[in-house]
Amino acid sequence: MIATAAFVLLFLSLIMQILGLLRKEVPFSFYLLAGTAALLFATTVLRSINMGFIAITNTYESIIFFSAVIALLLFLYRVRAKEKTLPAVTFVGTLVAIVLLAVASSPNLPKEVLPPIPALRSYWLALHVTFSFIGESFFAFAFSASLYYLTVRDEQKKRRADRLIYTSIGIGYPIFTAGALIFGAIWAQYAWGNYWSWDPKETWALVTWIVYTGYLHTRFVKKMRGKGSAVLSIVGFCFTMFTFFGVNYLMKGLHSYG
Amino acid sequence: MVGGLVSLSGRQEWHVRLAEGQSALLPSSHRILLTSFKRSSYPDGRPREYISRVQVFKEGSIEKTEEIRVNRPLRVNGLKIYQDSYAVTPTLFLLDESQTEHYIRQGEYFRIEETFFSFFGITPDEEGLLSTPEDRRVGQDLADSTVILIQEYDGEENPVSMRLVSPSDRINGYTIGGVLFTEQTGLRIVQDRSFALVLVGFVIIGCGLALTFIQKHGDEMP
Repeated sequence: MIATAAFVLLFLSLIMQILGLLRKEVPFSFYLLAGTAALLFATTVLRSINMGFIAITNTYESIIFFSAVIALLLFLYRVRAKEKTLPAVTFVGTLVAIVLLAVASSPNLPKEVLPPIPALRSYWLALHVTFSFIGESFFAFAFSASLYYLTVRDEQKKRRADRLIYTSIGIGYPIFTAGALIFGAIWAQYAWGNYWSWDPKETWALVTWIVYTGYLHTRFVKKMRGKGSAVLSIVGFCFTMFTFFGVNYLMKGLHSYG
Repeated sequence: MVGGLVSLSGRQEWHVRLAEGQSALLPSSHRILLTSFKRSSYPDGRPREYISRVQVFKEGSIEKTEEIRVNRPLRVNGLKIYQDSYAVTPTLFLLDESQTEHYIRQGEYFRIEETFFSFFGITPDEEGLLSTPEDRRVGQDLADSTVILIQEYDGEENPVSMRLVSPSDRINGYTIGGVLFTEQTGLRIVQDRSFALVLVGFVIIGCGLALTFIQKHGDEMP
């Protein structure tokens, strides 16, 4: 119910943003993003209280958390950037969050509040999942800025978008590295005695990590900017989404629950 | 990568199944005894907890008494013992002429006079489907009509014939008492000294990330 309200709020935000793109920004409309994030976090907290563990143990709960972080990032970006905000970037980011919540509302995704099985009862798992999704939320933001970069012609806006892509990946990459790779490996070591199993999700997470490593490497060492970097960021986010959804539905492995 | 190579070359893994009261010798020459195994489920049937309570012995004296749970492995002298699985397996019990009970777990051998036997298993249930062990309740006896398969071997341990018997049948002076289902815990014993190296690798990655960003941050400022 709260998640549905969050979806409605986010949809309203999207409409306001369309109006803003066509005419002029509706005052305080970006607070709808904060409201969405608050409602989604409230969903996570309530489910956590009901199940007695942090509610990030299945696909539905992961999407709720992921969307909440994206909405919060978009809001914080708008608050910090003020009049320098690139509204199209916020718009694409909101669209990503809406698509994620639409997937979460699918009848194929179980939404019952179920306490976790023994393997998932670990605080390393909580760190693994939360850090991974926080990192991926920054990648989603970079993806939105990359799409904007490739479509806009104004050089000054291009520079701002490029800077935004770099900042997002620069912050998201270490968080993702810690969550997806390091905390994931430590959890796996405690649960199964294997810190790496070449499970499909592990492998695809590594591929995603290599793409973003490539982005940073080419930027730092080769001083690559612009179109190439933006394309790499888009490819990275496509891999991120494939690692999350594609692997769940096309491959079987240790991560079949989430 | 060094950790990965060490793991690749030196990692060893063993699996052991123990019923309550059974013990196994570890590669470190410690002996592990399962004193109790508890499993619980949520109302919807999903597993909630597996707890193996064990005692670890070294040269006959107890070194430690611990619980092994999922996500909480036990460390014994460089080995880690993980709660890995559980099984419910049939156990055949025989009565000798003095009415003493003898228990033989599925797959175990036993000897009566000069002949060797092994408890092979039980036949399909009435619906014609082979019952999985989980379908049976622990401690449940089988119906008298159940057929028990006992493999007979000659003196050189070559299979001779498969005997089909039922509770109360006799075999070389012993009476088939029946079959009970007992729970066994599945433990995974891992010897892998590379994880510390991997953790060091993670710390180096963390330091590298921090240094790179500190160094490059100035370059990137507009």
